[in-house]
Amino acid sequence: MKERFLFASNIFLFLLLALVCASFQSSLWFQMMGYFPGPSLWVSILVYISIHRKLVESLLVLILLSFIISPFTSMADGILLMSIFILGLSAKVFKQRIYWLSATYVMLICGSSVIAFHMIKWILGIYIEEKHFYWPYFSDWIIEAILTALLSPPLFKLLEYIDRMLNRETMDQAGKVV
Amino acid sequence: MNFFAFDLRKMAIVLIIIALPFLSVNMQRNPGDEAWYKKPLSLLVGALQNTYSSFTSEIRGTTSTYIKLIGIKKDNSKLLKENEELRAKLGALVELKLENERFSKLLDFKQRSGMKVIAARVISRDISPDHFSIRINRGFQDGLRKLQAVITVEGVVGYVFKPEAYTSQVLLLTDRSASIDAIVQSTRARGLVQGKNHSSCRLRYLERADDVSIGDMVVTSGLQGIFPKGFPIGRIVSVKKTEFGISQEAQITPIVNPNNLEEVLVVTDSGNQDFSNKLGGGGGDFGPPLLSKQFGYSSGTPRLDTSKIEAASPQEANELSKTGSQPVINDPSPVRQGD
Repeated sequence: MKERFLFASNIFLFLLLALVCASFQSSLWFQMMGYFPGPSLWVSILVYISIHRKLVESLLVLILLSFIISPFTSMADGILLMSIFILGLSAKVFKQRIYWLSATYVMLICGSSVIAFHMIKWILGIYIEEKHFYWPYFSDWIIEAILTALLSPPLFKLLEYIDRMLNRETMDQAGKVV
Repeated sequence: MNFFAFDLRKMAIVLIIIALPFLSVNMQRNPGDEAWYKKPLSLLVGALQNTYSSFTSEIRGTTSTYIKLIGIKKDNSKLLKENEELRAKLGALVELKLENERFSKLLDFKQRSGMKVIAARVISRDISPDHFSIRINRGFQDGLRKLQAVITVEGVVGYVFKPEAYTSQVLLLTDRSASIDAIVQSTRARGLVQGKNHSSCRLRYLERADDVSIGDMVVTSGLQGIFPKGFPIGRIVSVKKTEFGISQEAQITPIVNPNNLEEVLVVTDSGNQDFSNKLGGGGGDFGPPLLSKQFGYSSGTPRLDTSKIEAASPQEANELSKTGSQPVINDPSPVRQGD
């Protein structure tokens, strides 16, 4: 019973944090900086879930994450969900090939995930959306990726702290569950 | 020794010596020139006194300056702090003044337009840089419904996309999913405005025979029942016509800059208002006076030379080629060729 409670609390906290990060990007950052691209910290949370959880659990949490993120964008829900799935699976595969415990790795994977997310969304839009083709704002993608990469290491520390607090497993240097 | 045994002669000499100055000195304090034998002494005394006086006044001055400096320093830091507070208050007051001006404008528009509108504040934007939507602080509870028009005093902003209880998501007209039925104000040519990127839209499905020129104002047609008729959307900045095809397309710059939105109006009841006659070429009751200066357009200005139709860029040519149309590159021929 206690384990289930901790498990549910862990998921709830992660989703709440994703909600706060998305609100920060869409509202607080917008009020302060206008239309200058903000850090997509919710993508960092997505990456953390993908690389530190088992496959089935991470997919279920990603579905919930897409519900959380959906009100923040006018993107089609299906495209958002598919993009999040593809990104999550890609992050998991990437982690199996390349993984080391350091802030540099976190910055690398989170920054590239932001660009990957936009790229996936764009490519899916070309093939699926009715008004499919558009030229995206690559400069905005890059700025978002840089800001996200810079702010991801402290966010990862927070997420690891939440995991430790709620007795979730952590990874060692070899990427195995401790 | 006998006290009374004294020398009379010595006593007399002493008395004379004592009495002599009293006999010669002036006992009255009468103003007048000093005696000649006193002048050098007076000069010396005066010089000495002057020296002492300047010395002490220097010391007194330095001491008082030092004491004053301490006080000045305290006053200075107090005044600096007060200055900063006043500057902050001034900044806030300026902001309030600007806000007041904006609200006055909105209220004036609300009262004069004849429509039922609800003012709303923009609270957030889309998290994706490739999608253009905003969130406003009004929802179902305030009477908002899906597809209600969202405007400002200057022109069209978009429409309500996802209304919720207390907030609503508004799709901006620059989003590629947005579509607004429109007409060219001068020629009444009808088309569909669709979003393209953050600063431009496309007016599509114009008939090939329609007379459309750069600088023409595009307004709402009112046919969808969403927007009031004749409300400004944007101005045409380029026209593209393919070599073969039955339609033409124009690129328009929206009147309202979506990057500067702070307050908007949601039209809950347009009241069948027609803004066609209220728009001057730039001096009407509503509409954009600034753009008319930029494009040099007014109601009495002759139409622009049609040879100024711009050729399709290679990027847009690629897009058109996907739909089966052939782009026209560097075609100087007039619009009516092939009609």
